[in-house]
Amino acid sequence: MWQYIVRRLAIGIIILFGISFITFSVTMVLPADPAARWVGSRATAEQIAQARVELGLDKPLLTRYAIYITNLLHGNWGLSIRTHQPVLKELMTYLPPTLELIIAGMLFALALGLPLGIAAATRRDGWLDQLCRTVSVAGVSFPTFWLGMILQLIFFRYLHILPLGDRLDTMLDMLSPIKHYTGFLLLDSLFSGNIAVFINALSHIILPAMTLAAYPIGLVARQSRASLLEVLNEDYVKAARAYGIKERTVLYTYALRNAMGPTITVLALSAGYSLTNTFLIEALFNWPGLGNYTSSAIITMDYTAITGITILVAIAYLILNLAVDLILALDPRVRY
Amino acid sequence: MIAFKETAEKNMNKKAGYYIYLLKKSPLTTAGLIIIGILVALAIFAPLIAPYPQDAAGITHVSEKLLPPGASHLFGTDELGRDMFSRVIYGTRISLGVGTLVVCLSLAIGVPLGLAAGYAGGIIDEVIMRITDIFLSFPPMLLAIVIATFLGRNLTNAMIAIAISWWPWYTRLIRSEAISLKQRPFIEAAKAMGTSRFKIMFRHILINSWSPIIVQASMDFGSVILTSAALSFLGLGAQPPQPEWGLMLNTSRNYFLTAPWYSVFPGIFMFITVLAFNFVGDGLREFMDPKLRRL
Amino acid sequence: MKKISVIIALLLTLAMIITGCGGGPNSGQNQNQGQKSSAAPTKNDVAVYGIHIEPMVFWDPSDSYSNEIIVLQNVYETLLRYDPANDKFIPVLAESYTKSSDGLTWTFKIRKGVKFHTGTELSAQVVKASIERTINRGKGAAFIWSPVKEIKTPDDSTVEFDLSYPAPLDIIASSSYGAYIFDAKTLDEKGEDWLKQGNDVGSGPYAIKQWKNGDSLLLAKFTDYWQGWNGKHVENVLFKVVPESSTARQMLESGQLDFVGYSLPVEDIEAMKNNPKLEIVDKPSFQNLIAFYNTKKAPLNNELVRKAINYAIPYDNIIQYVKGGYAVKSSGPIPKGMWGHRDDLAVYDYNLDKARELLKQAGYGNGGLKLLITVNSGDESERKVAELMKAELSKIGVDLEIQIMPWDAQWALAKSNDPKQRQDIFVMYWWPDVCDPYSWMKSLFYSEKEIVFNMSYFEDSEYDRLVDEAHTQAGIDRNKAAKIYGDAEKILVDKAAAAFLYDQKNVWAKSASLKGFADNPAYPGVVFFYDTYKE
Repeated sequence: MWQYIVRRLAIGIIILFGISFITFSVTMVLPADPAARWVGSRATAEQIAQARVELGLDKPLLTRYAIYITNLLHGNWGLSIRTHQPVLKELMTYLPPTLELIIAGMLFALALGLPLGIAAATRRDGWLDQLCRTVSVAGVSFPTFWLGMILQLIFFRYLHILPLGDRLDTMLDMLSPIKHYTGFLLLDSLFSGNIAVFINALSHIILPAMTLAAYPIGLVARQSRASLLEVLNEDYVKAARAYGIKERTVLYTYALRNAMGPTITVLALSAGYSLTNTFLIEALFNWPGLGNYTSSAIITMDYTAITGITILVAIAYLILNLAVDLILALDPRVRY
Repeated sequence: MIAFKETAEKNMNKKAGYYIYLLKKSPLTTAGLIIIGILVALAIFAPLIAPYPQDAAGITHVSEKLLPPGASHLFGTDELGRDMFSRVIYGTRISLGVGTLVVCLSLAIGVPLGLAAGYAGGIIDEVIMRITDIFLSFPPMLLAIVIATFLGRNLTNAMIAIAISWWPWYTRLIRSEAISLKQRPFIEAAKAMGTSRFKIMFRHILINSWSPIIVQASMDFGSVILTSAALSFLGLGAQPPQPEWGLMLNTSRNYFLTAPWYSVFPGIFMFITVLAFNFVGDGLREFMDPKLRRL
Repeated sequence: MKKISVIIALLLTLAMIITGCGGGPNSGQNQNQGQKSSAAPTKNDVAVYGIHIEPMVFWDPSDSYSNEIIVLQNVYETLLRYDPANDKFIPVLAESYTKSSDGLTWTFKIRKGVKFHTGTELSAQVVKASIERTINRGKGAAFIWSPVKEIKTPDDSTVEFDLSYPAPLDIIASSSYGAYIFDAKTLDEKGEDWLKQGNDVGSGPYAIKQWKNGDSLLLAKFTDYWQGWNGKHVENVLFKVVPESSTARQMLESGQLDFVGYSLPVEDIEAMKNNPKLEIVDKPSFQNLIAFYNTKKAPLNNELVRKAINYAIPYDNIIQYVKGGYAVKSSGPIPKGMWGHRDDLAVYDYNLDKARELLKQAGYGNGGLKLLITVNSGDESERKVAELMKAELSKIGVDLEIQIMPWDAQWALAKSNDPKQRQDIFVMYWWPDVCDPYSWMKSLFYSEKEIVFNMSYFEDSEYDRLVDEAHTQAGIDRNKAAKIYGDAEKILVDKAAAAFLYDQKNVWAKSASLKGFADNPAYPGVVFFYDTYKE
């Protein structure tokens, strides 16, 4: 197994080089002039020409790629053309809010999907089972951005119980600062013992997390139903029943424990999809995360940032894909 | 001869009856099929159904902006006074068209490559699969976004971008089918008879692996519609005044708190369309995969 | 199960590697500036300004030439400040100034007792050093100083500018960009990176206290400010990035914002007018919207076609429904209120018959024209204008294709090497860098070898001559200059080089509790917070 992982990682590194080179060359031919963006919107022709030299844009592509990769290996991901700040520093600023959102969305999906899956499995082919199927298909059919807007309409516009967007009330953020340990606001506020910030942050994360959860809810419901049905047919469960152990105990102690593994795995694997979804959701909820950062980078054709994001996402994806393949190889119960 | 025809007909009837039986067992699939039928009809007869066809083409009536739904405007009007009902109906054309074209384009790229990789094996297989690896190491939407940015902002380019990020899935699918089929006796027999490689790939292997492709394609239809709408939502797809649902939703963001109808209707149509295709795809998957069939 | 937990551990490790090495959000907390109050502010001494994008990109006061002004005009000061409503110059870091009769020598008396946030005292030498630094770097708006030949400091409080040609140095010294006076010595010692972490070397009423990239920037009062802190002043200012107008409106209504620094949709403005907690301030601005015709590419190289399109634009509908009445139809390129403006140049009206007639004359009577218009993404007004134009042009047989593009792509397309690739109509706002008609006349229509902002690709030697003449005249006799600019404007209108759509009003939405705000169109979007207070 270790040999396999090492081989995959080696291939992965080669692919990473391929990806970084492709992205780098593609961004070079993007229909915009990075030098013009770098000097600002009202530059003169001479200033732009000067910036082209400063940024090394006058050098041949391969030389520039070589410089880029060398710097990258030294931890220097370049300066963003749009913000003039180090790309790596910016990625690290925007990643925690996005991870926090994705994890919150997964917890939501688990909290709603699991009970549905259990209900469907115990009343097979009943109306709950049909509901489970409907929900799981509906969940993947929602246009994410539309769902977000509808939730905003309901909970902000009509019920007035949840905020429209942002991560924290501006005033609270300033008046009651918390220490940053992890970058996850919910955890940091708890560690700082600041309950007001915690509650406020919680109220802000509910809507975007719910929107993000729509897709994995179906996956969780489906997988937990399938695994439960499989476990319930196992001999040891039948034996437990035969011994007269209560159905409830059988279900929650024996069956569920065994069905949890594949369910959680499927959920973890949906992270890649959720990451893409944050592009739309963060824009909608003004969430200061990687999705918004990426949109801005693409809009301004900020090639250093785009390349940086691509490499980061590709690393995450490679590891996720490796995990998928390992899981599929190791655990036949998972259907993904 | 006549007798043979009769049995064939009987077989057909039997088969049809079997499908009807399956459909009865799965009301959601049936519902999906019916909805798709209605949407196709809406798309074809849009000029007859839409009360203000010019509004879909971009004619404005600014003095009637943001009217709530009512008798003259079933879905209300947008910020330039255009009839939302007409625009949403015309939007069906765009979305169904985009879905069909993108899926066909991805199949056209993905299937031959998958056949070649699976059937030829060796270095060809290795090269094609590593290329798909590179493509699959991005979330498909991120890739589509980057390509669409590069190609320039319009609907055609968005469709090309989605197809480019989509084909590797079909390549992988066909490749594994081809690998398992190529050892089967009837292929070996065809080879022994001296049938050309090309003929074997497209005649024998492709014909025999169509069912997973159909399932995958019908499942993808919904995702393609969602992705293209998402690109339009980000400003990378359809351009105004095209009545594209994603673009309408994007524009509505500035108005939806005061004019909720503006966002609600295009979204509902998009949701129902995708839902219908997913129900059908889900149903097809169960028919094809006996392990999943709930009979 | 065990193997799965291995994999989950793997994923968690990845998450930890990625988050761990970054630490928390990068807050540019300052340690260097001891005078700043360290106590957390309370709600009433903070004014919150909402802006649609991160304002701070160029931290160097010499280089800044964009949205930074809304922050930096509160952190840095200039020698003078211009008040266009009364055509007056308010002394700031200069106490007074005189000019020689030939307009070639300008002498400024520098204020005494002004301290920078770095502790340095203001002197004539500091003024000279900062302006020379700006000129030498040659970045941003450094060109405004191009008439300056030499800067002399006869004594500690006198600065003398010798010019190579007559120019209105009072306007230049009060420019919204490129005219900041700062502690150049400290800046050069500490370096640009230090500045970029959220520091400043200004003398203004506020110093930068904390910066969260992409989220917010906090200014705190500078206790040693030369005008003192007696009376009512806002003590802290928070600039908050709020990209969505719907969010901005909601935050304003719930008291989380005091001021929105960009124009909200007119529909929102109308609804907010009736809210007693809010105040809508509308003032004429120097910003106008212009649709540039590609005069170098068929069919718009034909003057008749350009005029036909000018007659097909529904100006009144645009002003009433797109701008909600917060704009006036332009009369030539120079907006109302700016010197050099002419009232008799709004010669094109919405008249489809005339448009058809002109098209017929041009030989396009049967329609079949196809034009590409590019507008900036994210601007609702520009998009709506394009859509209204499309609807009207379709009635005279012109098919207008709309491309909504981010500025970078729109601009890059306009500068394509192959002129055939370029757009037919380019929609763009313009506002002055220096409060002078020259900004429009020179940047937008003066012949350019390499295209920068001349989006009409306009070339006319008579026009160029007039603009040059007016510019030199402005340093001597402004009335004469205005007249010459007027002649040049007439050429643009007669040749229909562009459609001058509207001069817009600044419409600011603010909370009623923020008092003392006065809009100054010479500094677009800037709230001079020292003049304001909260109740």
